[in-house]
Amino acid sequence: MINCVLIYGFDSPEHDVSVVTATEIMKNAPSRGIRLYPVYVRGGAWYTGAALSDLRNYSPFEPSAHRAVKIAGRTLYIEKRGKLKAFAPIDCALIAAHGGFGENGALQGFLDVNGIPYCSSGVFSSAVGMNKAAAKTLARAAGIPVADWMTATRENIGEKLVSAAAEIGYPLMIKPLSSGSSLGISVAHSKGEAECAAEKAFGFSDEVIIEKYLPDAVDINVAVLKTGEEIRFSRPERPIKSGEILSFNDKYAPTARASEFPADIPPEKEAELIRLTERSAKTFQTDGAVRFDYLLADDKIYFNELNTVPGSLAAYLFPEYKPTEYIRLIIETAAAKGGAPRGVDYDTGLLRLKPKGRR
Amino acid sequence: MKYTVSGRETGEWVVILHGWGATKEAMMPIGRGLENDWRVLIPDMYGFGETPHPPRALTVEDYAEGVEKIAMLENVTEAVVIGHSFGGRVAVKLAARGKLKVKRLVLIDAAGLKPRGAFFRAIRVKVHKILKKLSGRGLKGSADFEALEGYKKFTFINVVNEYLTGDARKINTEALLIWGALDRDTPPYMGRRYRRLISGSVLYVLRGAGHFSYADKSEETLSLIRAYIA
Repeated sequence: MINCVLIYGFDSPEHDVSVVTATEIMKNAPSRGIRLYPVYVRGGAWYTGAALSDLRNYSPFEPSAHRAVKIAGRTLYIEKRGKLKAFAPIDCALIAAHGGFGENGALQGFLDVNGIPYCSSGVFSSAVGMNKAAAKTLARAAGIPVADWMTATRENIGEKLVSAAAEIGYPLMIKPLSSGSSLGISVAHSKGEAECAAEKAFGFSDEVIIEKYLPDAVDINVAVLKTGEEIRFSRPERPIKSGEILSFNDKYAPTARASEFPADIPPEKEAELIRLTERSAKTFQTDGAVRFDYLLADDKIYFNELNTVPGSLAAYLFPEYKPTEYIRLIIETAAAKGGAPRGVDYDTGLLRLKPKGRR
Repeated sequence: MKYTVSGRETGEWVVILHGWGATKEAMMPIGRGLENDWRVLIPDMYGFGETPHPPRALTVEDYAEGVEKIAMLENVTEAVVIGHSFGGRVAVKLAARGKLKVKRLVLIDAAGLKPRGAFFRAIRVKVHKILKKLSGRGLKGSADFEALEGYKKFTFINVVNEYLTGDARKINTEALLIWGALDRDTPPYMGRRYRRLISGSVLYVLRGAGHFSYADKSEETLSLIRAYIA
C-alpha cells in the first residue's frame, strides 16, 4: 500500500486551477494499492478530509469543515486543539499546485528536507522554470533558440521600454516574470499600450519580461514524462487561442479547452521539437511530468517556457494512458524513489577537534 | 436475482446493495467510480427493478441468501460489500453469516437497528389494533408500506421488525460507516450505534447530506470508499 499526499492550493494567482487539477486527480485516483490523502494549503493552514473532493466546498471555503493537518518528517499529523496526532505515514507526495510556493521550488525543498519523495521536478528545475528570465538564459546557454527578451522592474520600466522599442521593436509582449497560466500577459503596439501592459503584469510579479511579439507565431507544447530511467515525449500540441495570445480562459475554462492534438506540423519539425525537448529536459533536469512551451515562427522554433507542474499534469498529452493508470504510474515511480538518502555520514573530523590551548 | 457485472476483469469483487424501493441503477454512480480497479456486481433485490418478488413473504435472511447465490454463480468467494439503507441490513446479515467472505464492509445510512421512540410506537400499534377491531380499519402505515401490495407487504413487515444488533456484534471484518448528518430515516445515532457494535469500524458523518448521502455528497462518499477499500 502506497500512502500518497496530494498537495495543492497555496495562495497563488493560479490557486483555482490547482484546485481543479487536484479534484480531477481525486476523481480519477486509483482505488487499489494507493491511498490518496488530499492536503489543501490555504492561508498558511493545511487541511485534509473527504470534503475536499467536491468543488462546491471551495467557494465559500469553510475551514471548520475540514481537518487541520501538518506534515513533519514522513508522517501526516492531524492537528486538534494545538496537539498533533499521527494520522498516516507518507510514502510520497503528488504536487498539484500551480504557481507560487507550490511550483517555485519552495514546496519541493520542504519535501526534500522531510525526506518525502515526490512525483515531479526538484528544487532546481522548479525554481528556474518559475523565473522566465532565468529559464531563457539557461536555455540560450544550452544552445536552445530563444527569442530576444529583457527584464524590467517598476523602477526602470520607463528606460527599458525605450531601449526595448529600439532593440527589439514593437509589437512587444509584456508578461510577469514569475507567473504561469497566461495571467497578466498582454501585447503592446505602442508606448502607451506598453505602459498599461506593464502595469497589468506588475500586478502579478515585481519584475516583468519584455519580448518581441511574433504575430504569426504558433504555440506548440511538448510534454515530457520521466519515470525512473525511462523518458517519454508526447506528440506536440497546439493550443488554440481566442485573441492575440493564449488567454487564461483558453487554457483552463472547461468549455473553452481547445487544442489541436497532435498538432498539424511537418514531421521534420516534430522531430526537431522532440530533439530540442530532449536537450531541454536534460538542461533543466526535469523529473516526472513537465511541459515545454515553444513558439513556432517563420519556420523557426523558439523556447518559450517550462511548466514543472503543468495543467492536469499533462495527462491529456499522453492519451495512451487512461487517467487512472497515468496517476498510478507517476505515484508508483515517486514511491519507488524512497526519499532522500538518510544516515549518510559526512565525517569531516571538524566536530571531533579538541579546542587547543586549554585543559 | 438479476444483476450486472462491470469493471476490471482481473479486479477483486465489490458487491453493492441498493435500498428499499430503489434498483441497481441507483447504485451505478458508486459502481462507476470503482470500475477502474474493481470488478463490480450490483443486483436488483427481490421485488425491485428486474427481479420479481417470489410468491411468499421474505426475511432479511432470504435476501442475504439470494445475494450469496448469485455470488456463487459468479465464483465470488470474497468481496467488499457496500450497502445503502435496506441494502445495509442485507450487508450486515451477509457479513454475520460469513458464507460469502466479506473483506470490508461499507454501510451507507444503513437500516437494521431499533429506532428511538419505541414507547410511542407501541402505543400507536395498540391504537391501530383497537381501531381495527372496532371499525375494521386501523391507522395508516408509512408511505413505503402503503405503496406495497401482496406478499411484498408481508416481506416489509418482516424486514422492518427484525433488528440486527446481534448480527452486527458477530461481524469481525472492518467496516466503514458513512452517514448523512441530516438523515431522518436512519438518523446518525444509528451510525454511532453501529460503530459501537462493530469492532474496528469508523464512522464518517457527512455535513449537509440526508438519507441518500451517497448521492448528496457523491464525491466525498466515493473518495472515502476508495481510500478505505484501497
